[in-house]
Parts: sequence; structure tokens; C-alpha cells
Amino acid sequence: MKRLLLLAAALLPTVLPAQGGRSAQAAVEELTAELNRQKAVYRAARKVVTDSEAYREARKARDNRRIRELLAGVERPDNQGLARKAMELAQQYEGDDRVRLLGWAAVNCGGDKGIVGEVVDVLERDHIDSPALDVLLEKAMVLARPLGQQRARTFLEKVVDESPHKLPKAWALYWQSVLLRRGRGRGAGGGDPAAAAKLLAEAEKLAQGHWLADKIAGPRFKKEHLQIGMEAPNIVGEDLDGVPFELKDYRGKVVVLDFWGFW
Amino acid sequence: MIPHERSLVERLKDKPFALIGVNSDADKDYYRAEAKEMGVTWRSFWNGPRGTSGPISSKWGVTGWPTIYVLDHKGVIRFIGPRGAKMDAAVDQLLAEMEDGGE
Repeated sequence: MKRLLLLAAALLPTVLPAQGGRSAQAAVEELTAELNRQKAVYRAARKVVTDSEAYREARKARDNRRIRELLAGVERPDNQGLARKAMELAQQYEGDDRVRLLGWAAVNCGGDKGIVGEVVDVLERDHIDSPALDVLLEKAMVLARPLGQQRARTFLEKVVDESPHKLPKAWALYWQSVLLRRGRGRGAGGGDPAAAAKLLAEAEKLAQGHWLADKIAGPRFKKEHLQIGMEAPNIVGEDLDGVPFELKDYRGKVVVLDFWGFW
Repeated sequence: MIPHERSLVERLKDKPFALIGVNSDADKDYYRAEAKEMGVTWRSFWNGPRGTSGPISSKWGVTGWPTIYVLDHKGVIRFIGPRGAKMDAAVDQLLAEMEDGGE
């Protein structure tokens, strides 16, 4: 199969538009930009509907069927189409670059069972030793549903057992611990908090210096630094125009700090 | 939520008060369009291109949005999570405390 993929890679450039030596990173960025563009078009079209009198009336009457009807005409972003495109593009690259594009496809396909299954099969078979697997593993929970819990579990196990790289392994351990904790109270098997904590500690060690370590340490940070009566930790960052500032610049003022977003 | 915060900022514009966001929109263009439409006048840290998995919210252990902390003028966390009228009351209390302190 690997040979077959290589053969396909050799043939494809004649079929697809030439990429002109573009990096895989650039390809990923273009795909992301296109998806964002489609999302913006979708939101705008949706807003026209939700601002309409007919929609407001349907909302008021709690007429879900009518609401669905009204929204049905709004064209959604083509997640699957773009994911398929990413998979095609992936054939033009090798190794970690291919993994990045395949990972993009799985994460952005909108939970398409076929695509996620296909990508995970290929990654498991040909790329389990790639350091770039973290792109996909970061979003492993998005994949758990289309993949099915059992398949997700075996994939994570394989990464933990076979990946020679810290970060993919750390992510896999992290999600394993999440699955273990979530198992709690769901009948047979149940949760195992002690085992989950052990996996999490292992993941944190492997992820040192990466934001995953911060994420894992989050609840502890909250307990130790974010309780009422404690001095708030400083935040050093930049605003959405790229201008740097710090939370402590506002010392001397009463501050409402609000973690928010439009989405 | 945004209309309330907008009016809070407007009401207290001459007071030693600031509403500071940590915005978790991954797509800045989308943020800009919405911020304009909704009349967002306050400043936010950007949580980066990973959105809700960004560095600031990861470090602060944020798992739900919105998450709100109210700090007094010394930077001490005094309230966690007040919304609506409760947020207003918290801020008013801290402003009054500050005035009583003669600072």
C-alpha cells in the first residue's frame, strides 16, 4: 500500500494543479483561510435569515420545523470537500508534511466518519512514528465521535506504545486519562480516577515546555493562584491589533477580567 | 452579555475601572467584524490562533466561557463569575471601597 501511495504521489502532480514547490505549511494555511472564508459567508447568510421577520416569528412560536426550514437554504461551509482536497494534496508530500495535511483533513472535515476513519488508518499504518501526529492528537476528542470510542482507544494506545516522540505520546496519554475519567458512572468499566491521574502526570512530564503541560497544570494553577483573596497573576500578551500590554498595567483600577469570544 | 458589558463600560467611563477581555476567537477577521457590529469598545488580550486552547486560557485553567474574575484596584481577586446585575454590584462595591480608602 505504501508503494501504491508513492505511485499515486508520482502521478498526481500531472492531474492536480501544480503546487510550485509550495510548502505543506503554506498549503495548510491556504486551506484554513479558505475554510474561514466559507465560514464567514455562511455566518453572513445565516444572519440574514435570523434577522428576518419570518425567523423571529418562528422563534417566538417555538416552531422548530419552520426554523429548520428557514435555515435549510443557507449554504454551509464545505468541510468535507476541503478535507478531501487536503487528502489529495497530502499525496504530493511525504513524511511529516503528509501527516500535517492528513491531520488537517481529519480535524476539519466536520466529523465525517469516512474521512476520519481513512486518515486514522493511514496514519496508524504508515506514520505512527511521525512527530507531526500532535496536530491531529491535539483534537483527538473531535475525532472520538466519528471514530467511535473503541477505535479511538486503540489508536491512542498505539501512539503511546509506538511513538518515539514526546508530544504525540503526551497527547495520547492526556486523552486516555480524559476517557478514563469520563468512563465514571457509565455502567460497566466505570471511571478510574487514580489511573487517570497517573496518565495525566506522565503526560505532563512529557509535555514540559509545551502548552499541553500548562493545560494539564490548569486546575492546579487555579487552586493555587486563582482563588478569592489571592493576587491575580499577571498576564503578558497583546491585543487583537498586536499591541503588547499587561494585566498589571491596570493596577489602581477595578478590573473585570472576562474570558470570552464570539465564535 | 455584550450589551450588558457595553453599558457597564459606558456607565463607568469616568471611574477607575477597566473591562479587560481575553478573547478566544481564532479568526481575527471574524472578531473585528463582530466587534464592530456589537460595539465592543474594550480591550482584549488575544488568546492566539488556537482559540479556546490558547496560551492564556490554558494556563488559567479556563474550561467554560465566559469565565469572569473581578479584581480590586490592588489586583486582588475579589469575585469569581458574577454576571449581569451581580457584576455591576461587585464593581460598584469595589469602587466604593477604593474611594473610602482615600486612594
